[in-house]
Amino acid sequence: MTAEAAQHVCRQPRLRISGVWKAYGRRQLLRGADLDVPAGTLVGVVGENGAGKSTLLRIAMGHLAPDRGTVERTGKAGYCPQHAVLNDSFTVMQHLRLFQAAYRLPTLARAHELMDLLAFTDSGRQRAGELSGGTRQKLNLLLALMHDPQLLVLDEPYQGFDWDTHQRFWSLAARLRDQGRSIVVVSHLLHDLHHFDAVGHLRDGRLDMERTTR
Amino acid sequence: MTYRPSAYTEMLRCTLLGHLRSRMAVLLAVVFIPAWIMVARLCAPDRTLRFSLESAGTDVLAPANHVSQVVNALAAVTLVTGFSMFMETFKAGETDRRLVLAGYPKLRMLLAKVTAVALVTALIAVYTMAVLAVSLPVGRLGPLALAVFSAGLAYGGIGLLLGSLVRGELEGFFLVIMLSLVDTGLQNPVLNVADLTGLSALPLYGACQFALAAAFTSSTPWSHGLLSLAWSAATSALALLAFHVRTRPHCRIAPEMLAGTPHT
Repeated sequence: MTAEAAQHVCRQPRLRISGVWKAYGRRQLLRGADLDVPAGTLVGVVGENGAGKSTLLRIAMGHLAPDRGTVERTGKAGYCPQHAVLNDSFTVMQHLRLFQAAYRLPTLARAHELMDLLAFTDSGRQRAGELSGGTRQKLNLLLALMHDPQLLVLDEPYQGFDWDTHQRFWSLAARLRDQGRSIVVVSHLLHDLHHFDAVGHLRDGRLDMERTTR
Repeated sequence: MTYRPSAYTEMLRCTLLGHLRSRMAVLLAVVFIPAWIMVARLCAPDRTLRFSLESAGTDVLAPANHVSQVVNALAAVTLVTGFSMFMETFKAGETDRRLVLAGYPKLRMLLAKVTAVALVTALIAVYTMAVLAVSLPVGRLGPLALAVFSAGLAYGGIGLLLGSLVRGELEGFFLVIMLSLVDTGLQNPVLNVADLTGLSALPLYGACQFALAAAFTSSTPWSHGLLSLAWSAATSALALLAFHVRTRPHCRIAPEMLAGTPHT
């Protein structure tokens, strides 16, 4: 494959959302939203509360059916929901082993690396119901990352993180992007916008894309 | 670490531990079952009761107090298994959906949950039989234990189904309690509604007929025990169907990179 062809493949989208419409009852939330996320890009999705950011991401992951429009994605995907989806009766290690089985991973080496990076290695034996809000969110994020997916869809993944962990998250996101992963992050923090290669503003049910000067 | 867990055994292990960690369910099992049997022992009359038992094909004579103890034992077991299976399935619902969408095999997940229902119900049945054996002069403990087990299985399956279907915790509680109360009330020969039509369509019918025959006659109507197993199998299959519908992906996952051309 020539360098030009390799670059072309690299820019092909891992996730393509085309003309997606979604209503809840009479409330029309999405009105033809489009989004292409190529390999090696970190894309932000911003918008007011209730604009439909989480709905768009759930549709992107196939958890929710759009009323109209299509979603196509390729490769392994990892999804971090806005609210930590964990079983309060299970320990952190039980979560890791269950998701190891789901992702069919031979080892938990990467999960342990991520635990170390996110600074919660001591919580392995604790039940999810006993974890602090920030640590629950770390586990929630880790479950989306532990299989090293090519596409990452993260819905406000750093809620409850302390400043150090927040910074480490963005370093990790940048490293993954540089390794060719595609990342979509819902954010509402203005000071995070400089991390993105492009930002999609969700307004009136459509995404207005804007490239940033990172 | 090179150990790769099997989807079935890991889910079974976690689900069993989850049941044991549910203080409310354990408390219900340990306290409510003997308490409910004791209520029948203390409150039900000692008079001899004659009732028609379809599974034995004959009329049966037995002390109303003893009949009430057996029926109350079944009622307590159905409430405990129905409640605990509902709670476990309901609480795990969102995480289970996340696991399945991440690639966890659905069938193995549900089989592990059904196995957990069977193991927990077996444990509850043994405990209930120990209490009944102290309280009642029962000669044939084995068949009665199987009847208690099959009653628990039927309601364990119902708990599993409700846990996969209903949206609210209270709805599930109410449905489990209401169904168990109505079912055990109608099946109880002391209340004399044995000739009510449609009684055999209720989940406890088979187990109750099996239990009463085992406790008060010399017959062992296995087919009636199988009725409860059929209920358990049917509710588990429906739970799998509900789970399957709620976890199907709604987007196209392409094996290759997407084409760079605009999409319509």
